[in-house]
Amino acid sequence: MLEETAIQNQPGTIKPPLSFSEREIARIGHIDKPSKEAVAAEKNSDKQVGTTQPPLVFSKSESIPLGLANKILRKIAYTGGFVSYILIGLSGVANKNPWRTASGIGSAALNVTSMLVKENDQALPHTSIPGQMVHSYLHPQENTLFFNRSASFITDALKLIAGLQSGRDKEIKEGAFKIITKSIDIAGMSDQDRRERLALHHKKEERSLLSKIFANRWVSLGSSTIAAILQVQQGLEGDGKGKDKNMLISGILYFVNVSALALDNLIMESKIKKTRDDKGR
Amino acid sequence: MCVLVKGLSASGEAQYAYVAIAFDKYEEFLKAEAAGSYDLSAFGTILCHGLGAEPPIELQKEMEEKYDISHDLEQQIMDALDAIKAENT
Repeated sequence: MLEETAIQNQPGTIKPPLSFSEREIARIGHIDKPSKEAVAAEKNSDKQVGTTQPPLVFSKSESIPLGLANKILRKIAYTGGFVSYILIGLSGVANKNPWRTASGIGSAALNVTSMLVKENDQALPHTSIPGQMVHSYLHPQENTLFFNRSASFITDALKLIAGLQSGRDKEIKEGAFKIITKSIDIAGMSDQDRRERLALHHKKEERSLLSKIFANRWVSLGSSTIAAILQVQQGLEGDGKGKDKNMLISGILYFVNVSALALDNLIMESKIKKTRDDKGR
Repeated sequence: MCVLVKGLSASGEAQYAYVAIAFDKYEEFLKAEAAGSYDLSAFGTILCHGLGAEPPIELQKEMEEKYDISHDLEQQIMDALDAIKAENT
C-alpha cells in the first residue's frame, strides 16, 4: 500500500487501465462469480478500485473531458462510427427533430450491436465472454432478436427526449417512467416469464435470484440512460461554453457507456439461455 | 471518463492531473470546481499528476496512446455537432 501510494505521488506516473468502478458494478447489480481468467485479467485494474488515494487539492482549476476510461467501452465508442451516429441523434434533440434523433440513435444501437457480436473478439465488460464466442451463442433468429432489443432500448429513450423537448414536467415524468418500465420489457421477459425460462436448469432459489438480478440491471440501466440524456440536454441548453460544454461532452460519453452496459446485459441473458438450451438437448 | 484538470494547488503552484471520474459524480465535480478549493481525489481515480500549467507534450502523447483519449475531444465533438447542424439548416 505504501509502495502504491509512493508511486502514485510521483508526477507523471501512469497507472494501469481502469476497470469498472465498484459504484458502477453495484449500480447494475452484477454479482456473478467471475471466471479465473477474468480475475487474472482484471487483477491490475482491481488494485485501483477502492484503494485510498492521497488528497490532491486544487484551489482553482478548469477541466476538459478527454474520453472514456474503460478500454472496452473505448473500443465500442471509437469503432464503426458509433459516436457519429450518437451525435446525429443528439443534433436531432438540439434541432427538435424527432426523426433525425430516432435515426441517429437507432443507427448507433444497431451499429454497436453488430460490431460487438461480429467483430469484437475482446472480453466484454463484466462477462469476460469473447465476442466471437458471443456470436457462436446466437443463431440468426437470435441475432435479429438481439438487434431489435438493443434498438428498442435506445429508441425508447426517445420518448423521454420528446418529454424534454416539450419542456412540460408531466411529459418528462411519463417519458422517464416509460423508459424504466420498457427497459425491463426489452429483455423480452416479465418476471414470471424469466422464472419459467430459467426453470429447466436452475434450482428454485437460483431462478428467483437470477430473475431479480436481470430485472434490477435493466431498471438501473433505464435510470442511467435518463441521467445521460438529462446531462446532454443540460449541455445543449447552455451557451456551449464552460460547464455547459463539459456537461454535453460527458453526457455523450455517458450515453455510450450506458449503451455498452445494456448490450452487456443482453449478452449475459443470451449466455444463460444458450447454456439452458445446450443442457436441454 | 478521463478528464484533464489544470489549475493551482493549495499553495498556489500550477499543477495538472489526469483523473477517471464516474459519470454520476461528474456534475458534483463540476460544482466543486466552480466553487473553488476541492480535493480531486474525492471524485475519482487519479491516473497521474504533476506540477506545471500543462502536462508535458511527451506525457500527453503517452496518455493518449495508453488510454485512447484525445486532448481535442471537445473540439472534435463540437465541430461534428456544428457540421451536422449546418447540414440541417
